[in-house]
Parts: sequence; structure tokens; C-alpha cells
Amino acid sequence: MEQLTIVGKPVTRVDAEEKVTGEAVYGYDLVLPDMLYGKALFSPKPHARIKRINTEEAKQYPGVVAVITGKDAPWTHGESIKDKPFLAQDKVRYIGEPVAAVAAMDEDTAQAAVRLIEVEYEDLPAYFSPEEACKPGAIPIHENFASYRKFDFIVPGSMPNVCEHFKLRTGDVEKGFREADLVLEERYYVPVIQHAAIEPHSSHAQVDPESGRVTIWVANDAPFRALHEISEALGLSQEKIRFINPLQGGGFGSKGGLKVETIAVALAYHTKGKPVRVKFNREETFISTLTRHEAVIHIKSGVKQDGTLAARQMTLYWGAGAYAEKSPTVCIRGSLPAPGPYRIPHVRVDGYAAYTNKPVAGSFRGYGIPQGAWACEQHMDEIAKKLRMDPVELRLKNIFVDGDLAYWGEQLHSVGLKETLIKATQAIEWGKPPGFPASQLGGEEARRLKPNIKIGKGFACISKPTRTPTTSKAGVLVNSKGEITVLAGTVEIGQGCSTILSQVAAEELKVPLDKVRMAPLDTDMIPFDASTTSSRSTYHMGNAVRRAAIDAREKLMEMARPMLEAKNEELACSNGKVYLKDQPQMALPIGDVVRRKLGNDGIVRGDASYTYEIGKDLDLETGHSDHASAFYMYATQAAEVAVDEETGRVRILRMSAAHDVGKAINPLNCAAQIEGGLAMGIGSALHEEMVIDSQGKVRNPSFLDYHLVTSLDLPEMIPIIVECPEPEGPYGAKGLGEPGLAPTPAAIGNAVADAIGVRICDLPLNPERVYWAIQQKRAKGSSRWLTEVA
Amino acid sequence: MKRPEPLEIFQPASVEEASAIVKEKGPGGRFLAGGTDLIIAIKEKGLAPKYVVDLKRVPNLSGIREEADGSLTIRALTTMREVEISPLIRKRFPFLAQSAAEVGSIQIRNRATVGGNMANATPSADVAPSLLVLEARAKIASAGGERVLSLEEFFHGPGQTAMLPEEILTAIVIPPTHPKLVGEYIKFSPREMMDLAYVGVAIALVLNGKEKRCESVRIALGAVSPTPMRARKAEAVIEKQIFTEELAEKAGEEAAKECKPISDVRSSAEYRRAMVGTMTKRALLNAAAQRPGPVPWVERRERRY
Amino acid sequence: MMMKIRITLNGKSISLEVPAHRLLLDLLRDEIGLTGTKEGCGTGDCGACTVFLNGKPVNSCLILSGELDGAEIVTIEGLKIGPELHPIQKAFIQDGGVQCGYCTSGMLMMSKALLDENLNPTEEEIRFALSGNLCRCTGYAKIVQAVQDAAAELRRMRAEG
Repeated sequence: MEQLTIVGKPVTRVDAEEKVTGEAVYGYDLVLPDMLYGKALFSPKPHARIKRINTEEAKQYPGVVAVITGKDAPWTHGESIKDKPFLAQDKVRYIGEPVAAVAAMDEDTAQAAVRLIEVEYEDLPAYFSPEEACKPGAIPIHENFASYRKFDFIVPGSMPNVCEHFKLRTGDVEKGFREADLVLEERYYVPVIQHAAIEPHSSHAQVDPESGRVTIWVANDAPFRALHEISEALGLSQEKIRFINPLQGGGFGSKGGLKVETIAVALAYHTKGKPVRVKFNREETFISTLTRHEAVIHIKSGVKQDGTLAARQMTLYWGAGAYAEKSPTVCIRGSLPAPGPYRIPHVRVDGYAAYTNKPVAGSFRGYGIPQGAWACEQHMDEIAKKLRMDPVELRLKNIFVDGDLAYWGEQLHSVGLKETLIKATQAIEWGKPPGFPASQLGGEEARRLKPNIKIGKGFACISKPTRTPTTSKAGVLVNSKGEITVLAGTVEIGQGCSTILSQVAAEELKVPLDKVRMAPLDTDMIPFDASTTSSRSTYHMGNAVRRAAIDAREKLMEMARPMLEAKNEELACSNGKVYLKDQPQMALPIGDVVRRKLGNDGIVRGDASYTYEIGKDLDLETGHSDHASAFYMYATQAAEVAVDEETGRVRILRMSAAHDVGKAINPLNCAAQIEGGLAMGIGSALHEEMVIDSQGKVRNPSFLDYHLVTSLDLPEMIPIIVECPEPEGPYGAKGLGEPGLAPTPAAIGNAVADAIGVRICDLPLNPERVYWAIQQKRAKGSSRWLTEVA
Repeated sequence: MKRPEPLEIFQPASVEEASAIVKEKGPGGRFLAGGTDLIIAIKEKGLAPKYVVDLKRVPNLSGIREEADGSLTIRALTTMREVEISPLIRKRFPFLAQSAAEVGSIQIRNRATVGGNMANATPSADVAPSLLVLEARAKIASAGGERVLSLEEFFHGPGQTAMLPEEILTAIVIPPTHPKLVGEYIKFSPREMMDLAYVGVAIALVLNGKEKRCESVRIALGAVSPTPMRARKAEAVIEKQIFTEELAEKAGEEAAKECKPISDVRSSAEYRRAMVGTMTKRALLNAAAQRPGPVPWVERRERRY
Repeated sequence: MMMKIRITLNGKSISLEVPAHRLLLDLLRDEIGLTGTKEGCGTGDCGACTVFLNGKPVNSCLILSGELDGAEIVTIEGLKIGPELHPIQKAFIQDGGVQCGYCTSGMLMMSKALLDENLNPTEEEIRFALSGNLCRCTGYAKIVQAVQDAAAELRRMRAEG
């Protein structure tokens, strides 16, 4: 392989300077000329019929331009199921659903006016648990579900409120259980959490009264998908809609789908061509954007005495919240690999995505994998304990390796899982007695003095598929100064794509990195990209940019051929120049090539499109596919924890994270992604939970009570990059964005169980939960502790 | 959550003037010190004051001073950060500096004032238990004159104090203390920083001789009753006794019995009660073992465990 | 109630007529147009809006314009030293302390506040100082590294005069 010059190097980010000076403009910062200010009124009821809305007083309020309700915005949307109105129609389905909205001359006025809107409700029975919502006899949250437009692959099944039933059928689980020496059954629960990007949500929209063209400025992570969704909802051709992406202050999945966008668009139809901005504050962001799916997970396994897995059955109830959003695909892609990255001959999985009267669940970094892993990986440790086997040994006996036929019918390749398992566990000195890093808790001596502190180690493995099949297109422009502009629809959400894609373009055109810039993201100018989700960008867009850059390079070389008086000689490119391979002194800077051929204003453009060609689609009856994913990401994380038995407080002493990235295009950025994922995973393990009470109200919609980890809450983190190249990936790369947090809670859960000898099946492992688990164990001698779902 | 609404702001130059404004304008106004409670109450708790009286332009309302008799005056507008880093407080009452350091972030502590914090009477206020065990007094002034109350009498309930609307808390006075007094404050919360106390425990202890006989002990609890409270039954367990770990544990049990916690989104009453027991014991042991002088943050953190 | 105030902003004295209830954060962003200071929570829990007020780092989301007459304010836009990036800014770039960048302004201001007081902070002191600044992207490790490197650079600059 050719020597790589920029790919594989830990270069600094191309977008860092504008961010450290405060010059970067985020969605929340954007001011448009003549802009109006929008504000929504949110439902205070979890499930109710709207009997009457009175907007008269609000309309009379000085400075108000428009007051609208669902009647003024008669559209519904939804990525997979068209079930969600722009503003509530006839009924509300969760506390926080937008019911009405105001556009006004300034924010003070909008706020004052929105409070003058009166709404009368009639309460309906509400459901706050996905398991409850789909029990026989439950009343439907969506009465007209059958008539909604849906994706073809959606199989709602017959249970009430279920918007997707995913089935995986491999072998005969009953036979597997009969043949097993040990059968173990457990139930796990993962609560609702939120992405909590530090930038709250906002959207600007404008409708041109003459052309009817709709322009939306929003930091959405999938502008082309959002464009499609708006176009379908409004019944407007896609040419009539334009998305412009300002910078995004953190995404993690929260900024996909349409949330605040629909309010802005609805208002923009009533402002006579003026743009309108709608900003959600932190509380509104908590209650009215997107959350991560809560999940109730039943898992049952049959295992041979030697640790070989014989059968596994799982039933997963995914809490969709009030609207489907991405629930069907979260259900599919989260349920399919939930039995874990293991060879299992008999597998049966039923995943149900069920409506509830809670805030809407959407995509969240990991897309269902963390929930499945929380159950599966702790369950694996319970199996190991029952078999008196080292948990590492149990994994090694069963984990996926190259060439395995996965239980969903796909032959696996490029599987770096085993290496991640070995490296992550070695990094925390697995097998050695619980270490006590000298820097922690005052060293060995302190440990002897503090009998209340118990130390434990644990780890967890995952594999994660990516959204497949999808397409990314890219353009690469070279001007007469030799400067490169990359046109790519990947959104810079903080993950570093602009640096990675710049590296790829610079590598293929053989120019220094500072010659490359990313074009701003505007759907009018930029070629199509499926989405900045599912850890797909480095692979898909990396391939597209690479091919577009090669296309541009070949065009340049073709142009340079007569200039260099080359006949049959081979040309090459390096250091920003095209030259004759045999006579390197015969060289032309690429900018000169462009100028000589096309003049000072000339531009050479390379284009490419990349689609991973899928084999057979997922079979709806068996869940089988020979290519369920373009690539798989593998990871193992391992934790060492100290638990204060008198308080239940868990402190993580150190944590390793080994990730198979295929090829690290930028090792600095990979480490940054892993560390960031770990921090988020640790937060979700120990602290994070949207507390939703029995009336459906979020009780902690603030950063005071929704606990993100601070700089003081994190342990020593050991990121480990494993490179098991993916042949189709650019330079062998896979993806990395999501897996960083996927095994984290399970690894910590296993370490806590190791420390205190009791298995806690519900997240988060906050002090109070751990404390009561320890108390219950002491009282009853029980080594299991479960709580009921609220 | 909402944005602040239009309001009138007054910036008096004296306590008398401030008090007179409130008398004249009547109900619906609020005093403003650092604003870190008031602005949040406006944004999150539906408070909509018609006017605010900003006290920051009143001269001589901030600063820490040691009086000739050994008492210590902390004027009302002294910030939490000033208490946290004051050499005087760190020397004499390191646990008081520590309790100030537990409030929010440095940014918050640069604005939040001791007086504002006391006047808002939040049950979880971190410095309140430390001031209670020092038997601090509240100096209150108005156009009509001045009066002094013990801090215990000062707190009436969540957000409720003994002050009349036109009265202003001008200073906290810590009376002279025993030269051998040692103390401790432990804040118990899930994260290392930035949380409200789930439980706060302050101790002031005087131990005598090699046998460690307890000449006096004061225990105060935060976040587990409508006001920060003294745990007198727990104190009685130790008072005049020879200090031992067993006694500390018994005192903890007693404190757990006498506190009156509620259940909320942060934790259950039962858990808070249990943590009062554990933290009281730990705080007593820490206090008894303590060297005088300031302690780096890392060590303070370790003391929670 | 409208109020006339005079403030010094990033070294320049300016007079403004503003509603007394306008938050300093909104004053900076909406009325003056300096959007480098960010809003994350509005309740003093995230530190994204950190600015210097009279030399001290504070949450600009909790301060009313009516309190500001005579105040000296420095925002992220005033952090550069002339045309040059401040060593803290350089270190954040170099060490990967920036991802989405939304917390970065506040992180930088708070880091400067720390290094103004202490040019040789330990890792724990850095973590303690930054504990009021939430970051959802980085896991803080690279930010802490950046502050350490900036401190070393500032010590070097001081030693060289």
C-alpha cells in the first residue's frame, strides 16, 4: 500500500480555531435580518383531549404577529410512521407536546403572549411503561394508528400500542434450553435518559410568500432526511425546501428528526415572509425534544457446563414515548444484536416498540446497543458466576471471531473483538487481586482503614452494526490557487468529521491539510448524504470523499499530461504537485494545472457516490440478513470500582476502553471520541435518569438535577485503539462515534456486582439504589435486587 | 423556565434607604445580593418581583473582620468565594471555608453571598450547618434600627425567616470560640461537585486531654428538615463523654432519628435519614482526628468516604 | 424599566440603554451581538456563559443588566492577546480540548481565571476549578491536559519576561 502522509496522523482539528475564539456561529447564535421570535405552549397533560383553545387574548397582545394552533398547521410527520402533528391535533399525548405557538417582535413579548393562551383539556388514561402499554386491553394512544403512513418494513403486530414488533428466529430455543446444563432467566431495566448536548435546541424558518419556498436553518444531524420528511409532510416538492446547517453544539442523536423545526415552520407560514426563530430553553429541551428509549429486557439463556452457549431468548420492550420517531428502527437494530457478540445456535428475540405517554424517544448514540448490553453483559457475568468460570474465559469460549456465522445469518469478517477483550481487561490488570491505585483513596493503608470500601472489577463486550444500506455523495473542488473545497453533507456535530474528511481529501490530492476547507452545509449546494448518524460517516462519507478526490486528481493528471509533455509516461501526485514518475523535476503545482487549463477562475471538480450494496433485506419473519450492516464495530471496556457500602456511592477508579476502529484516520480524534463516550457512559451508569413521575411529568428538567458528569467525577481513562481493517472502508476504517458509551454501564455494573456481591438490574447505579441493594442483601441474604419499573 | 420579566431596579446607598424603599413600594419586591438564588427563582419558580432592591451599592456591607473579643463578623454581601479563600476563616474555621467551597461552582461562589444564602433560608444551604455549630448570630437592620438573632431563631422554614419585609440581614457574627475547637462539614451528594446537598453535616467539637473527653459538641444538619437544624439529642450522646468511635456511631443513630427529611426527586426520606447517621458519624470522627488549618480539596473529598 | 449604563467591555468603554431585567448573557448576545458567550442551561449549572465581571469569572445567565453600571466585563472575544491567540486557546487546539466547541468559551474563561491565580495547578486543582463547566463531548481529559500545557507555556513566558 502507498505510504500515507496525513491519514493515520494525530493532526489537530481544522475547526478548533474558530471555536476557541468564539467566532463560530451555532444554531443558537444565529440572527437573521427582520427575524421574529417564536415561543411554544406545551401540554401540561400526559394524555388528554383538547376541548377548547382560546388564543384571542394572546392575539391582542401588542407586538404579537401570529398565534397558531394545530388547526393552523394541519400537517403530520414522522420518519418511520407519520403519526406526529406539527402542533397537537385534537389531543395531547405527553407533557411537553407543543400545543400552540406565538411569533412576536421580541422574546419578552412572545413569552408574555404565549401565557395568555387558554387550553381546556379532558383527561384520558395514560401509560408510562412500555410493558404496561402493550398489555391486552390497553387503550390505544394512537386511535388511528392503522391509517398512518409507515415504512414498508414496519410490522406492528397485534398488541395494543406496539408500533413495531421485531422477530429474530434462529434454531429452536426450546431445544437449546433442554440440551443446556444451566438455564438462567433475568429481567433488566434501562430508564429514560437524555443526550443533553450543551447547546439547547433551536430552529429558524422562513416561507417565501411568492415562491412558497421554505428555508430552515437548523443544526439538524440529517438535513437531507429532515428535508425529505418536511417535504412529505407539507406535500411540497423537495426543490421547494432548503436546509442550512449552522454549527451544532453537540448532537449524540438528539438533533435528528424534527422537533423544534416543525414549530418554526408552522409559524413561518403566518409571518408574511419574515423569518422566525424558535429557541428551546433547557427545560423545554428536556421535555419536548427527544430522549433515549427506556427498555425492559427479559433474557433467558441455556448454557453447557463448559460455558458454551446453547440458546438465548430475549424479549425487549422499548418505550417509544408518545410518537414513533425512530422507534421502529431502534427496535430492529437494538433488538437484533441484543443477544450479544456470541455464537449461539438457538436464538429467539422479540422486540416491541410501544407507545407510552412519555416524551418522544429518538436516536441516541448507540441506537439500542447500550440497553441490550446492559442486560446481556451482566447476564453473561451471572452465568459465569453460576458456572464458577472466569468471565473472560466464558466470553472467549463464545465470542465472534472471523468467519463465524452470526445468529442473524451473516458471515462475519474483520472481527477485532477478541483483541479488544484481551487488551481492555489487561489494562485494568484483570485476574490480579483488586488493585488499589496509589493515587486513589490514599493507597493501601487507607483501604485497610476503610472496611466500608469494597473494590471490584468488571468488563463488557459489544458489537454494533451501522445503518445499512445508505448512500453518501461528495464533491471535491480544486481551484487555481491549489486550494481544495470539500462538499460533503456530513454534519460537524463535534465528532471531528470535518477534520477526518479534510485529511482524506488532503491525502488523495497530496496537499497539506491547511489547503483544504469544508464547504458550509446547505442542501441547495451540497450533494446528498443519508445522515450523520450510526457512526457511518467516516466509512461512507470517507469513501465518497476519497473517491471524489481521486476523481479530481485523475482529472488534474489528465489535464497536466500535455503540459508536462508526457506521452505514455506515468504521472504521480505529491506535495501539491503533479509530476512525471520517472522525472520528478518535471512537476506542476495542481493550482497551475487548473489555471493553465481553465484560467484564474477555473475549478476542477471531482464527484463520487458511495453506497454499501446490501445483499438480501432483513427477512421480516426471521430477522435474518446476509448483510445486516456495512460493517460492525467491536469494543470491550473494563472498569475497576470502589463502592462505599455505607452510602452506596460508586467511585470508578480506572476504566479502559478498547475499540476496534478498523483504521484510525486520526488517532487523537479517536482517543477523544473514546474518552467522550466513556464520560457519557459513566454518566448513564451512575447518575443519569430523567425522573418521570406517575403523572408523566419530568421531575428533573435541569442540569441541577439531571446529573451530567463533571470534571471531578471521572476516573483515569485508558483509551485503546485496535485496528482490524475493514476491506471496504476508507484505508480500512470502520466507525467509532457510538460504541464509546455502549458497554460502559454493563462494565461498571459487573464491577459493582463483583465488589458488593449483589447484582443490580436497574440503571442508574446511583448511591441510593446501590445502598438499598446492599441493605436488602444483608437483610435477606439475597444476591439479586430488582426494582419495579415506575 | 422563563426569562425575567420587566421590573424596576433600585440601587440604594444605605441600609436605611433600602429599607425605606421597601416600606414605600410595598409587597412584591425583593432584595438582590448576588442573585444566584433570586434569578433562578424568577426563571424556574415563577417568581415575578415588581421591583428589586440591589444592595451591592450599599457601602460596608461586605468583608470579613476579626473583632477584639475574638468574634468574627462576616458581612452579608461577602461572597462564598471570599469565605472559601479567606486566610482568616481558613485558619480559624477551616470547615466553614470548606462548606462555602461546596456551594455550586467558582462562578456561582463569586456571586453568591453569605447573607443572601441565609436570607433565602434554603434547607440545603451548605454554610448554614457550619454557622449553626458556631452558634452564629444574624444582625438585622432596617430604617427603624438593628436587632440580633441567633441563626437558629432566624430560620423559620424553607424560604422563611424571622425578618420583616423591610428588614435586611447585614452581617453574620460568630461569637468567640474555644481555642481548641475543631470542626468538620461533610456534604453528601451523588456528584463530587455541583449538586445540592442531599445531606449536610457540620460538627464543632472541643476535646480535652489525652483521654479525649468531650467538653462541648455541636452537630448541625442540612437538607433534612424544613430549616437547617441542630441535632441536640445527638450532641447529648457525646457531651462530657470520652469520645470513641462507638459513641460517634450512636450519635449518628440519634441524629438520624431526630432529623425530619422529606422525599423528593433527589432521594427518599429513608435514605436521607440513613445518610444522616453515616455522615454524622464520619464527620465526628473526622473532626476528632483533625489537624487545624486549611485542607486541600482532594483530602476533603476523601473525608466523605 | 430602561436604564442607562456605562460598562467597559473587552477593554472598550460603552454606554447602553437597556431594560433592567435583561440578563447579561442576553445583553451580550442579543443586544451587543457578541455570541461567543454561550447559553447552555440558564441556571448557573453548566458554565457555558462564563465571563469575567470585575475581574472574576461569573455566570452571565444569572446577572441583570440593571446591576451592571460601571462594570468591567471581559468575554471570550476579549481573550486574544492583540492579534495572537492566548496560550490557553492554543493549548486547547493543540491537545484536542475542543470537540463541538459549545462549552469551549466558558472552559477557556474559567481556565484563564484559574491560571491568573495559580500558574502551577495540579490536575486536581484544574478539575476542581472547571467543575462548574459541563462538557458533554470530551470527557474532560484533553481539556485538563490543555490547561496543564497552557500553564507550562505561561510559566515559560513569565520566566522569559
